[in-house]
Amino acid sequence: MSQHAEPTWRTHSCVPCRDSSRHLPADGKPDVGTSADAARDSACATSGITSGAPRQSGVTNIVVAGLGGQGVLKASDIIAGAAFLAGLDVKKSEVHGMSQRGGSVASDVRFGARVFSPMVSQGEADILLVLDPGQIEVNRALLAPGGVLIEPGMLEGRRLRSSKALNVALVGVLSRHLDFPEALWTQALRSNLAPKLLELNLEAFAIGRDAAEPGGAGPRPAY
Amino acid sequence: MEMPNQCPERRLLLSGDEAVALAALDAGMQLGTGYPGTPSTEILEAFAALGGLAQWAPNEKVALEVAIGVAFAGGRALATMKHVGLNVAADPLFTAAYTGVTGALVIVSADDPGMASSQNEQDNRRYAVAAGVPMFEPADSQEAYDFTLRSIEVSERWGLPVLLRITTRVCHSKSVVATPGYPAPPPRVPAFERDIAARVMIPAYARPAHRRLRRKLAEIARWNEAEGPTVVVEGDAALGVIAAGVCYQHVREALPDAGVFKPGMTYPLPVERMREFAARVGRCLVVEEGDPYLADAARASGIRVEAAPEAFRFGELNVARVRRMAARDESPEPQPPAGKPPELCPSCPHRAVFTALRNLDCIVAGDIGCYSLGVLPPFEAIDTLVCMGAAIGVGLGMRHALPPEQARRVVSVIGDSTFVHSGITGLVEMIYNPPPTGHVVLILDNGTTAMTGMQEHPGTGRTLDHHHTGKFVFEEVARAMGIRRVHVTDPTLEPAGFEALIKACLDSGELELIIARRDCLLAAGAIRRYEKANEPAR
Repeated sequence: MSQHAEPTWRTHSCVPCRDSSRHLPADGKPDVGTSADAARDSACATSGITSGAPRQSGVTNIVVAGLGGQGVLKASDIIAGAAFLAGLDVKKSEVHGMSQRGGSVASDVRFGARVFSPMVSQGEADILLVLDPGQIEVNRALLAPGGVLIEPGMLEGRRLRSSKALNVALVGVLSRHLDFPEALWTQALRSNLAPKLLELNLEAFAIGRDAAEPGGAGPRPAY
Repeated sequence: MEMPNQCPERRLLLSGDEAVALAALDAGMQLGTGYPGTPSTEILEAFAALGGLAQWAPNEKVALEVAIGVAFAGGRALATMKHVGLNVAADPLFTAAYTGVTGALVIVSADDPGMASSQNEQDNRRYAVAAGVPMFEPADSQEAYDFTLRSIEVSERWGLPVLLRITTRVCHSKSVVATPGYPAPPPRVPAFERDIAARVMIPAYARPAHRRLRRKLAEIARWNEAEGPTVVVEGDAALGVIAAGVCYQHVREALPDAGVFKPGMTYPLPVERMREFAARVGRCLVVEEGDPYLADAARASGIRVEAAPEAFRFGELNVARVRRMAARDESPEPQPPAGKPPELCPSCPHRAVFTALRNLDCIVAGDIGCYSLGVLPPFEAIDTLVCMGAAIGVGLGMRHALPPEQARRVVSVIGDSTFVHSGITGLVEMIYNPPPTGHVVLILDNGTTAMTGMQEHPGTGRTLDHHHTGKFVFEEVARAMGIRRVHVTDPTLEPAGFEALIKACLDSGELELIIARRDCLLAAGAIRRYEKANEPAR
């Protein structure tokens, strides 16, 4: 990085530290296999960075879909939060504005060693979580071959204290398909929900997690 | 100042909007001001939540003028708006480039390629060129943070307003932000320093000011070439790509072997570095959303680049579309199945209004807000929608031109926040140039800026953070303006009576203003809470 007298303060002379793997706890959470180079060739605005082509590494693609008001964005926040707490690179994308007016809403969550685009391409979702049965077909084309569909029918026979917690219950189902420890999910719920709603949602999460066969059908996305 | 090579103190998962707000806070921005508009709205909300001083202005022009005042006084100011908001603020923008600023002035333009929530997909990179203001384009939340600080740095170094151009996918995507926690030098203590020749743009002072601006831009161009935030990814010699903003992310994923040139400051562009890059690759493709801005700039400088086919000018890009661009695949693109469109909430007070307008077969000049949804079935009761505030002028124009039997059916419908934004001058026009058949204006006052997510506005009498302040009362202002027939009513109480009122107004041939007042259902609980909290303690 070139040095110069002015301006007197710089905003980013600490580039290698953006490498998310450096923030993993020493006790060895997921080995995300990121190299310092991957951080350097990131879009991190550093003057004159030159580096090699990116390493292709496994990225997990999740799409959460439903209707405005169902908590699509909250569900994707929780999933992204869990991946973030695991020390992974995370991107979460959505389009809102009209989302409170009952229209279709979808949110993409991608995580892994290094994520570029914030959007999940058609046919590349490892997991599609749909909150409204009517939105399954609209979004099915997003699923990768062999991808996992999670939908409200999976909770059949289970009673939620509030139907508003359906989003979190289905995140509980989803949690069985990812290798994050349960404590990390609890932490993600805690940081994304108002204290007065926490207990209800922890319960819903547990119901969903319980409803899904541990290590159940479908491939575990690698990351 | 030597910066220790320390690891960041904070690692956060933030949206682009939140990252801009955090940087504004870290840099000690004195004031953030703007008008709500998707996808920019969350910046000021986040800035306020973090403890910054944030205000909603009546519209973007006023916001920018207030921000210019802060920066004239030596402070650091942030003005936020969506892309069409910069049209409203364009007048001060162009001349603020001449005057320059004493402190820092960062203007956020949040563009919406693909129109997730907008009436057009204009490309505001053109504004940077037209006004002559430096522009940064972040590609993710980390850069949204970094480039906000960079914008302040450049603004203070050259005394110019700086445009931070972000797009929907950057504003509303969350990604990891590691902030080094470097303390920025504190902003100077605002104090008035008289500089008439710099700030009073009469022609005699504006002529040298224009020359000064061009000199500054030439210097900034040299700075950007030498040490601007450009990323060059070495790759395949056969294919190189020029891309900025979120397009860079799609390119890295779609074309992992390609070399990539990513300018962080996209005006003035690092043209010579672009030239070197393009010369090193066999094929140099420009990937950009919207207008061929980078491609035109490159070609105008004699750099051989390949612009994307016209089909990719429309809508957002994504990884799949970038793959198609690279493959020169112009076959029809697969369209995702249509989802469920948004609609007015069940029991929304606007429903009563549009039912009445449809029953009366009105010709409706509409405006921007939730009530734009009145255009969809089952109402289909909006006939025009152009821009914020246009309902009144467009309605008046139709009244002037249409034969009387049709003119008498014309109604202008505008929301409360939109009325404050730019409907007031429309009312002035109505009083000044009344159509022979009179006119009927309906203000749909639901007590909030609903569409963008329940923001306050001057008509609510509460500030951005919901504290009591001066209240702009529509009916009092209208009467003071000289409109004698002002009706205030709740359209949901008695729908038949409401319809009869509109009918009587249409028939009167006078200038009529109906204020249909009923709180938005989604906001009503919060409004009650704010009002209760604002009650004076006994």
